[in-house]
Amino acid sequence: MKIKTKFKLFLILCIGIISLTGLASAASYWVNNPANCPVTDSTNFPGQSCTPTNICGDVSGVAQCYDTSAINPPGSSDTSLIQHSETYNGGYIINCFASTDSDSPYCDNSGAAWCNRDSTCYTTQKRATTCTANVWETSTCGSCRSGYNDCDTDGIICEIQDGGTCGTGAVYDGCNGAVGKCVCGSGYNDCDSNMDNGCEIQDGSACSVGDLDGTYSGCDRAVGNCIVTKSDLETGTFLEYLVNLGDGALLWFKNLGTGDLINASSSSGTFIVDNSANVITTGNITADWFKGNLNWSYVQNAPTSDWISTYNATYDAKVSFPGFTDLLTDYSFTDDTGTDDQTCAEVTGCVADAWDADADVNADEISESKINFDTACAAGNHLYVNGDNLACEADDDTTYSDLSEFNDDILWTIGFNTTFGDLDSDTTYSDLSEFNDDILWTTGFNTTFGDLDSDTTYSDLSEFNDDIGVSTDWDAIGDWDTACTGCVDATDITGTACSDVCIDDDTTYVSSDFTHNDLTGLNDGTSYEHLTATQVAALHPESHDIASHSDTTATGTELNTLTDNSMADTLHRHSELSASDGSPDPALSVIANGNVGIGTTAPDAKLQVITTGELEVASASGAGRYKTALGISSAYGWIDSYRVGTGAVPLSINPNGGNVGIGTTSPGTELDVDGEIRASTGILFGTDTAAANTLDDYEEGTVTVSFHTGSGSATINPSYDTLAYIKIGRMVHVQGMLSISSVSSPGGDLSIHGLPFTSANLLDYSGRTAVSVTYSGLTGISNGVSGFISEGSTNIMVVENTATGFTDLGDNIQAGSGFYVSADYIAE
Amino acid sequence: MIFLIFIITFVSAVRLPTVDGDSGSWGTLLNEFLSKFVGADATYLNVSGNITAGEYFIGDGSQLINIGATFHNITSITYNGSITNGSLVGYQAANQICDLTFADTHLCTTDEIIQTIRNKNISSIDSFVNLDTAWIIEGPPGYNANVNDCQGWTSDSNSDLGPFWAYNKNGGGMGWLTNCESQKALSCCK
Repeated sequence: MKIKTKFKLFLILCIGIISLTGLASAASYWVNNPANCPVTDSTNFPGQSCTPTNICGDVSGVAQCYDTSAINPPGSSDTSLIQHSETYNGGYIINCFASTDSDSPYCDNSGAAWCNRDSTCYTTQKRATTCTANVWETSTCGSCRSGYNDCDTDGIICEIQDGGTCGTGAVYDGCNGAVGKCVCGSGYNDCDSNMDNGCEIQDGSACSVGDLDGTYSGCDRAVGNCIVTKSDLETGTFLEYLVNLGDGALLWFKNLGTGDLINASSSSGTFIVDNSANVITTGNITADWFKGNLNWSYVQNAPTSDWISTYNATYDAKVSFPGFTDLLTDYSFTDDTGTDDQTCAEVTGCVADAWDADADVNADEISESKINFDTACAAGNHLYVNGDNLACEADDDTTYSDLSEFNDDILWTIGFNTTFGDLDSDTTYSDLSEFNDDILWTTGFNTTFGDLDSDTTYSDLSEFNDDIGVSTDWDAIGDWDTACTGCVDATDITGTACSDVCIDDDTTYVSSDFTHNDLTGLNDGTSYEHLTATQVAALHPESHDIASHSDTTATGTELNTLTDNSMADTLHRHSELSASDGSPDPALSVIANGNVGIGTTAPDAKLQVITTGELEVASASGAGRYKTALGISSAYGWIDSYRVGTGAVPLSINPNGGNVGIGTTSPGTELDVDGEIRASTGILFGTDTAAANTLDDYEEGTVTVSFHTGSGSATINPSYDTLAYIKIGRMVHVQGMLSISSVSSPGGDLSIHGLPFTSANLLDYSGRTAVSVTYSGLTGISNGVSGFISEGSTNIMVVENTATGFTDLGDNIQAGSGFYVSADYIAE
Repeated sequence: MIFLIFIITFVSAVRLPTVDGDSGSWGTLLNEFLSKFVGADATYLNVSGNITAGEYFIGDGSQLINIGATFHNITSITYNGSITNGSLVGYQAANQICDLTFADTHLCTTDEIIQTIRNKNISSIDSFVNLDTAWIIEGPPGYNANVNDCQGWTSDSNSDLGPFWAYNKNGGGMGWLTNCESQKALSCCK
């Protein structure tokens, strides 16, 4: 009877425990006063009681007991976003059935209480709840919930929710002043920087570049970056290669035909590298440096102005030719008619320093320096006008037989102008007083003309040689041109302007014949005669720069002996070009060996551009232009064909035919690579673009396989347990010799496990693949053996052929049995 | 299974007939002797010593009364589910504590409490106090291993359970489980 009673109690206990454990979950029993925690709970803690205390905690369904009337609310406030209990609103509450945390009492929140959010704070005002210290179930609204913003700072509702929609593809993200800050949502882009139309570009949405379809991915400047479908050459993908020195070039090809090397075009322009490696572009070439010989004839069609210029007021545009000492020989200037050896004045737009563009030598041009007459001739020599030139001759010819020694061209006759009274007005000289004693030509009159130059007083004109038949038109003077009715200078003796000047070569010259006709400045008391061109050149070596010609005392000579080339060589030898704003300076350098550098003053090649950017051939300037860029970094060099603001455009190499070689200078096919080719996603042939027709794999290797039998076992010989395989695309070929080293009661089917790839299930029905199997050392075989690979398998099933089909082979094998396997199958 | 029905009552001094003696009275003596044990109609068995059976006592036990210990008192000292006393632990320690607190007592089992309520006038038992709670023995686990008298009164884990009785003179109270971290007195029976 006692046993029976115990059994009943046991059953009751079992039921209770079953219920207890079944409900041992994280049940909650929220109260706003811990004293209200229950003593028992038949649902969550069946059979248990905390009498005379309260349930205060739950350990895996075991109620924890505590005098909860002793639990006080927290002494400090707390903030919450969590609704622990729907029964109560904001403020501290407690969970009698809380899972135990730290020390007893277990129904508190690690020694505190739970701060329950207030529904109004949370839902209406979008704010957190601040539970009041030392009070149960009392709270206020706190700061904005994460992701909400009180932009209008009314302190009530946090009205802007981050992520909320504020336009096409746009969402709020914080505040912008008193309103929400609208930004692009994930996957959207405000490429035009105008939020009025929202974030108009959505990543992944359809776009096109020319005839190429693509999808947007971010912005490229002010428009969406359209990533087009990759072409056969993957030009839509940024590729990285490592080509080391000696490995060749990144893009290495040779055109054995006559077509262009590169011909890239767009709707806006064309970039061509022709068969002679000339770079031809309808756009600009922009680079830090150009290196190489610069043939100016190819820039003659440049804009008529500013093709070598600077816009910086501080610096003049300069073209220098350092290292050349004879510019006359090394360089020549050509005018717009193609005529070589032009003077600066003859070259359109050329303005020499201090010299006018006209043919006359004006007084200011003399004063500004061109010839230093003080040093023009060596000591003991003097300068004289010789024909059209100035020349030096020895001073020892100081005795003149008569005035015939004076060249008609002597322009010192200017010295007779108004200073000498009516010398040129009445043509009759009453006495020599009309001659100024200071006339230095009196030196030339010395012994021949009596005391003409000794006493400075002239008794009569007899002191003058009879030949001096000064007349109104000077005809009587020697062989002056009798036809001449003009003057010897631009003004006659009376100061009247003359249209002609008379010279004693019986030729009538007009003033325009004289390029440097104002030699008034020569009236320095010295007798000058003509200088020959050679003498003038000797007096003005090329080393003289313009600045040295500053002799303001120089008078009366001609400087047109500075020939065109001398001017060019002297003034136009420049080696550097600066940027329009002066920086960089220089922007272009031409060094002594003729190398031209952009971005370097020591170019290593005929044209060298040093830049961390790119050498660009563009269809135009600015956004939307098509460009082909060349660049180099420490890791690789690159060529990129691209439309700014839109994305990549195809880069065609030899579009007109011709082979391209990589790693070879003699490509034998359209693309000849001396090395390996890697295609990350595969190779397509012909015009095929179907993914299924992509040749995407090649692999070869070996696998270790094992024998399996339906019953018993067969151990493979470790010396013959390997199959070699080659995989081309999905086609797999496996072959090798396998041998069994030992068996243990083998029976049932025999299979070889461990093929390198799973056989594909290409058809809805059985797609087994036949395998060629040759055997040795089998027992009881009459009709040979066969093999097959089931779809979705990595095994080869080896079977014995029968008259009507095949049967299991497991009981025909023995130690030493061998198989020669050759299998071709299609992998998944 | 059939249980033997027997009642144990007080047995007075009677004797069996003497062999080769008590001539003419041995039957009377034998009847007197037997009547003391089984009554005149053999409806009960009354012995002062032990009843020993080579095999089973057969009967339903419904009349087996006043044969076990009953509630005596609870200790004034409380214990969690891990009970020790000197070198003793578990049930032995609990029994020894009861015995040392109340002579000849031990830690009550559920049966003993039930029998007390059944067979005693609990309203007159001063130590049977309303709202008192004290550990009792329930024995083996009902379902989970942790419901096994606080691991045989060796565990004070709050995830183990031990039985206790909540005393109430009105109706006797009820038995409960509570975690072994709880502090409770021991129910002692004799």
